[in-house]
Parts: sequence; C-alpha cells; structure tokens
Amino acid sequence: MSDGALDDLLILDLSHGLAGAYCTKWFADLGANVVMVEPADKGASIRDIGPFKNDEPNQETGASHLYLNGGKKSISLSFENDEGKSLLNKLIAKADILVEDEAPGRLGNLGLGFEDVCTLNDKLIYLSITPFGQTGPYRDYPSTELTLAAFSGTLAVRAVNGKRPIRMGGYQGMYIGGRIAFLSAMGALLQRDVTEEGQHVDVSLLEAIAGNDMAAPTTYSYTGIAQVPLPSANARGRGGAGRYPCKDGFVDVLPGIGGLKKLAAMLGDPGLAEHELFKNHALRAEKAEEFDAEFMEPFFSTRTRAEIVEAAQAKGMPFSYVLTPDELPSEPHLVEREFFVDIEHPIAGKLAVPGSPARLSETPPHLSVAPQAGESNETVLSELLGLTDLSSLENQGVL
Amino acid sequence: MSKLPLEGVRVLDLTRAYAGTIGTLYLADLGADVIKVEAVTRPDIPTREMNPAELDPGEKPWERAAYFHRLNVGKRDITLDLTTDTGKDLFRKLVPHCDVVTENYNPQTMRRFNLHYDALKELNPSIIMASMSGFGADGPRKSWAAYYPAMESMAGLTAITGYDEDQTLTSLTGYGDWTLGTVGAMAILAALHHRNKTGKGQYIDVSGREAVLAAIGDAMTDLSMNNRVWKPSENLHTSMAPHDTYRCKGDNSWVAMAVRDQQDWIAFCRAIGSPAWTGEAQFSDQEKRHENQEAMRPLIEDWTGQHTHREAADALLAAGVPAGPVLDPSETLFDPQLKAREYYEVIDHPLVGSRLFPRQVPAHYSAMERQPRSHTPLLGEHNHQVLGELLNLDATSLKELEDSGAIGSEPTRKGRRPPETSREKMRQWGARADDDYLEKLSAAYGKKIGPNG
Repeated sequence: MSDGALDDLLILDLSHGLAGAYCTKWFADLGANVVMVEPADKGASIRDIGPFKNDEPNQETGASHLYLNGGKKSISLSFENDEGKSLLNKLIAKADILVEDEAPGRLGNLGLGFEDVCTLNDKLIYLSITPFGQTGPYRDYPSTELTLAAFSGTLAVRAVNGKRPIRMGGYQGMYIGGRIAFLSAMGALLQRDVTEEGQHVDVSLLEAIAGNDMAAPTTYSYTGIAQVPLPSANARGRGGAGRYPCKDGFVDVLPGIGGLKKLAAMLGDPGLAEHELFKNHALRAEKAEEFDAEFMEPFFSTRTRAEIVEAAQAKGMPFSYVLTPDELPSEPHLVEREFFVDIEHPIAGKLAVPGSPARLSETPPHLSVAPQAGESNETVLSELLGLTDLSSLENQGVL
Repeated sequence: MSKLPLEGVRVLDLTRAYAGTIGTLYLADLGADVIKVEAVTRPDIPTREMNPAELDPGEKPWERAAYFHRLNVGKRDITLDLTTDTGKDLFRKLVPHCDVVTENYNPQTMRRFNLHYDALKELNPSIIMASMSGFGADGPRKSWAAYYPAMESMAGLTAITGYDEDQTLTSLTGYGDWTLGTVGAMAILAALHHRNKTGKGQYIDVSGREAVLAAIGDAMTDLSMNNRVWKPSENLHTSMAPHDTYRCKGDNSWVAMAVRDQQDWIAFCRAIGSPAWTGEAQFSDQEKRHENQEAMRPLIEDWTGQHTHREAADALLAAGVPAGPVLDPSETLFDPQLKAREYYEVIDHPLVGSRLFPRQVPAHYSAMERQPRSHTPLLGEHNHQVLGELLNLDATSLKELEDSGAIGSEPTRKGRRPPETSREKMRQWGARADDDYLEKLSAAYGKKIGPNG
C-alpha cells in the first residue's frame, strides 16, 4: 500500500473558485501534496461562500471550503510584490502542477504567466481554468455557473410545461469543470511521465459543461432535430410509467424491457399480463386513469418507496426513488460501503462528508480536514524551501 | 509537438450503453487504443439504433445512429461472445496485451464470466480493471439496475433540483451517466500514473450514485454542520439577485442572468433603459432584491420579452453583467466561442458521411497538437486487425472464426426497430426541427456535412 496513487506530486493551488477547488480535491484525496496559496490579506475567495456554521460568516466554516479543501495545506502568501513573487517562484520551481483560475492574462501581467514561469521549471504543468478559455471572442465575458449552463446547451431541456429552465441543484457546472480540469491535467501528467516535459493546459468551463450533452448537438447533425421533448421521467405517473406517489413519497416507475409482464408479477398477479390494459399500449394510454386506479394505486399507496423499489428491482425493473440529503447518511447501502467519512474540524466540529467515489484497491483515497488560512506557512516553507525564520516575511505583510 | 498522452495505452473495453462508454471515450480522446468488445449475438443496442442519420434506419440500422456514434468515436471495435468458450478464450488471450479492462455490467456478471479482477490479474499482473456501475461492486443493493435518473435521485441531487418539492427534476441530460463515466476515467488515469511509478495495477470500483453524491458535498456538509436540508430552489442563488432565466421574444426562448452585486445592478438598470421600477425601494439593495425577486420577474420580462435571447444577453454582457442565452443544444454548434476554439470536430464516417462531434477532452494543450479522431467503428470492423496483430491469428483461423459465427460484422439478434419518427412529428411534440440542417451546418463549417456522394 502506498499513500495514494498521486502521492509523488506537489500541487500549488492558486485558484479561488469551486471548479479549481474540486479539481485539486481530487489530487489531495489521491495523496498529492496540495498547497493552497492564498492572498495574505483576504484568503481564497471560496472561503466567502456560505452557508457557514450557524450561518455566521466565518472564512473557516463555509460548507464549500470545508468539503472541497479537505486534505490540503494552506499558505497565506501575497505575490503581488517582489518578495512574495520571488517566494512563489521558488515554490513553482519545485511544483509538479500549478492550478489557477484568474481572468485570462492576469497572472501574465504579474510576471507569473506560463511563459514566465516555465523557464523556472520545464516540467511544470500549468493548469488554467476559466469560464470560456484563454482565447475566443467571449474570453473576457463575466459569467456565473447559471449563465455558463445557459450557453452550454444543457440548461434548455430542464423545464416542464413551458415553464422556465432550471439549473441542477448545488453547483454542478463547477463540479463538472473540476472533473474535466483534473482529467485534462492528468493527461498532461501522463504525457510528462514519458517525455519529462511540462506544458500549459487551458480548460474552459463552458466546454466542460457542454460536453455533458446527452448527444444532442451530434444528434442535430444527424437528424435536424434541435431539441428532444421532455421524457416522461419527471411527469406524474400515468399508465404504468413516471413518478407515482406511495406511502412515504414518490417512486420513479420505469418498467424497462419486457416491463409490463414484470410489472404484473410485481403487483402480485402474473396473470394480469394477459389483461387487455397490460397488453395493449395504446389502450392503456387512453385509459391511464382507470389503469392507475385499478392496478397501481392499491399497491403503491400501501407500501414504502424502499419496499416498492426492492420488489421491482428483484424483478429486474430499474425503479428508483428520490432520497433527500438527510436520508443519505443512513441509507443501508451507503452505510455498508462506508461511503461517508467522519472528519473533525477545530472550528466547525465533527462533520460527515461524502467520501471519494473512486475506490482504488491498491491506493485507496484518503480524506482529511480543510486547513485554516495560512496554517501551513511554517511547515510548507521549511519543508520545501528550508526557510526557518519567517518573521521578516510576516512583518512585510508577505505572509 | 508531442504525441497524445495515452498513445501506447491499450484498453479492452466491455462497456455498453451510456455511462461506461463515456468513460472510455475520454481515454480514446487522450490517445488510448480503446478496443470496444461487442458480440454479434449482443451488440450495443439500443444506442446503436437511436436517432439514425436522416432518421433513416437504412439497410444497416445498427451503423447509423447518432447516439452510438457520439459515444464511441475514436475507438476500435471487435466482436467476441463472452458467453461462449471461444469468446472467453480469445478475450483471455487479449488481456496480456492490454493495460486496462473496463466494464459496466451488473457487478455479478464478470464473476459469472470468470473474468473478474482476480482472474484477469492471473493473466496480466499489472492490469488495471475498472468497473463502473450504478451502485458499486458490493453492498446490499449492488445488483440494482440504475439508469441516470436513479443515480441522481438516489444521490440527493433530484431532491434539490426543480421548481418545488412537488416538482423536482432529474437532469434530463444524462448527468448521472456523464458523472459516472467521467469519474471512471479520472480514476483510471490516476491508476495509470501509479502504475508508471510502481509497475502495479489495481481494481477500481466506481458507483455512479456515489459519483453524483460527491458533487453535492456542499449540501451534505451543511446538513452535517447545521442540520439543514437543502430543498429544490429553482434558480435562486444564496446571495445574487436577480439570478434566473427570463422569457424572451420567440417560442420557448430564455435568457439567463446573474446580478452579483450593487455594481452589476447599476449596470443592469442602465442596460435595460432604467425603467422607473428599478428605482423602487423594494429593489434598492441586494438583500431586498433577493427577497423580492419574484416581484421583479414580470418587470424584467417586460424588457427581455422585446428581445431575442441573444440580443438580451449581448446587451447585458456589454454592460458587464453575467448573462447567457439559453441555447438549445443545436445552437451551440453555431456559437462563435465554441467555433473559435474548434470545440466541435467534423468526422467522416464511411456510412453516414461527415457529422459533428464535441472534443470530449476539450482542453487546449501547449505541447500537444489535437489529432483528428477516427470514425466511430463499425460492428467488428477491427476483428482482423486486432486479432491478427495481437494474437497472430492468420487468415485461415480468422475465417474459421467468422464461419462459425464467433466473430462477425452483422448482429444475429436484431434490435427492435426504433419507432418511425419524422421531423414533422417531433415538431408536433414541441421539438424544434430543421429540414435544412445539413445546409446550415455545411455553411457554418465550410465543408459538406451529411452523406457522402
């Protein structure tokens, strides 16, 4: 057993946003030494995103920071002055990957662009994450996760009954961006394993999000159909498919291949498969209310989500149900797989957070607690640069 | 300029349908030799027959589908039937020539084939095997089948997405599948780096439901820390307001916008012509706007309703306010930014001609030139190439395999023909459908898009 698949890597994380943080969380969970480099005066801006513990704003207790920065180190280092920049350059000389999400050109203006620092370390992988990429007519446009989703083509379909399109909950666009950024950096790293050369990697969040596309743009080039109408998955159940109410919530009914026979068996009477409302799709659609009242409701209204889905899955029908976040930590399957990880943060207290979804048998991921701003100044600078007396740097406001 | 990073990495790919094939699509984009394994008795249907070119199934309906082509471009394809001894035997012989084996069967299936990780490791000690399933390789619900809605709904994402608790939404874009496939590829890349250092392979178990759950870590941390349960919150943002999609001129046309702070608000008011309502006390600061966001909707739509989604977004962006037209997927093919960065690639397929494919790893690399990808393989297209090159099978042996039906290029079990559809019918169902799509695309991409000849 090693300390992780990526335990040989030093990552300098200059990013502020959620995508950069999720990207470097992957490196941290897989064993890399990830050092957040935060502005000495105000910290990385991810720390300002709520909700906070007890809803009291505190840079150490934002939920996104606590979750996404787990297992990283933090140094507070302002690099807009010469001393800070020189210190950062010394760290860059030792790093494997630098991650940044500044507006295109901003680090270049500070003399810290890829072209500037690649001379310090020709093996450096310099990962830039921006909303639209480093090039193109939109590169300087302002954006948020919602407006990127709009541009990506993936927001348009998430609407029902002519109502407005709705984004996915949380910050999925930024998580997609973090995944694609990680994957793109790993591409450069695997190439470096062979060539020993670093490079600049330019990741666009828009392109990352657009890539989760249900094949729709390609389909347009095959069929001329621009947008597929809403599948029935979110519609109220009718005629044996869709979302049906049950004793304790809703079940998504999806009989699947050969389904009506299986559905009949699940409802307790395989003979029903010969009933004309089971055999004749058109008739069932026409008399959906009758079908539901006679066959579905009696079964569903007396059983729980778990009971119904259990019974359906036993027959090979891929039913599922909506779990709310508070139901997840005790869900038996996740419990048995020990998915949630307990961590203890000195200020936020005991937390149970989602574990890594990548279960590698020889190099299992390891989660840990998020650092307080600047808490690793001494250890990082002494370990990596051999600096022992930081007082003059602190006095100058560099640290 | 160097070659692609995964050149020389060979992936024996048993994935089917959606999630798993997405995982190996990333590997193919990064230059890996992905050998997709199908069986003539069980090809990758239904994706092989969904949305055929020109909506015409043609003589070989399994070779014309947009879905299958999108998910398998750049791979090679062989046919082996793992339920037969011959198929299993050939598969076992291929394993020593490969670096990675991928699959997204139900967790029991590979064991039933006697091709689980321990068996593969005997054949190739440094093999990396990745299983991508809905619920993971162990646990009481491991055998549950899961399509993308299940991976999202059972991960808590559906419960926090939608208009309200009575109308929650799944992604409708296959997000659970994308997330599972992406995480599978990420884990494989990490394992490859570990193998480069140590020479050791390993087994990777990824659950799609866990992959989605890891992406609502903020909600789960808030639950753990504050005992708060996130609910569906439409497009509301914790601090920004307005932050939503608004109806524009035209049919089902919307613009998204986000006013982040007071400076954005001032710019927003100016951009929409400073109508009197923007001076009302109930909208005077971010907190009040957040509270009264619903009251703003008709007022904002008075303005957006006079403009197309592009016009509205352009006016706001020019003023420095984050905005974006809610593009339907086809509009992205014509978007200036994606065009400028060559996000879509034109790839020529022998049966359907030139079509458009996004770069699955869209990053721009300074030391790697993008390579043109090979067309989505035909069923069994590389039987001779792969079995000949890797297993040294000669023409006679290959012919014997073909004659016995062990390998081939035509499905023996045909899928149920997808229901006939037409653009006219799709329009009746509310979809936008263009009859002149090939002309439009050919003009936009400066080359003929559509069937050859």
